[in-house]
Amino acid sequence: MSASKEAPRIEIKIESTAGSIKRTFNLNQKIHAVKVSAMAELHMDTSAASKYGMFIKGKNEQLPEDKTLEELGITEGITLVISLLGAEVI
Amino acid sequence: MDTELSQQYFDEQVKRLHSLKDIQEHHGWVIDVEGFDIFVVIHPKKHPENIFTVRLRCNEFPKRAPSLQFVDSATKQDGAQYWPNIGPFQAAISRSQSQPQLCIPGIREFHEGCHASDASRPWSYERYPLAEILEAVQAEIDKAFP
Repeated sequence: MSASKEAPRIEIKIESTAGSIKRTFNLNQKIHAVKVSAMAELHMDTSAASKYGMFIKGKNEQLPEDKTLEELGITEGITLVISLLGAEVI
Repeated sequence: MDTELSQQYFDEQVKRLHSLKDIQEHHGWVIDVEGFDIFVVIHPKKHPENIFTVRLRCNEFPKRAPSLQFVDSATKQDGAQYWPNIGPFQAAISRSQSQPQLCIPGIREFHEGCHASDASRPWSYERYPLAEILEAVQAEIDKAFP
């Protein structure tokens, strides 16, 4: 019986205003899952995940959350940023 | 609260802000600290030619929230003419005849000004870290200059 082949893993750094983490992710993980997982690890409120976007550091375009790390060409060593998409202007 | 204790709380927050190098680089912030004032050069991501300087005045920190004003980048003088005249910033200018009042939680103008009686969002330095306040301003600047 052959074991199913697991997707390769890469180590990436993720930073938000709450701090930073460095850990490995499967390349087939979607951006949304990566974001929520990182937010939880950074003790951020994951119920507010939709208020935050994920970006490659220094890039303006928000990463589409339904794409995988592999589909977006995210490679080992890249730094991702979780950033607020809008203020609570009252 | 005495000045020494206030300085300790402030220094801790500034240290935390400085530690977020990737966030600073991502947004292009240039941070300078003078006394209890933090000056941050900030620009819309898609329009780096529009440069603004935010001043977070943290006197009496953490008892009082930081006061947020835009200032002249050279003289550090505050005034409505140094604010982005667009979106929520325009509303902040027209809200008050003395100083603009941006209505976002975490800043003095919100907690002691336009929402002084709003008990649902009390000021707390732990709830509103400096980096989050700056990121909220950055997000609104990015939206204002698409």
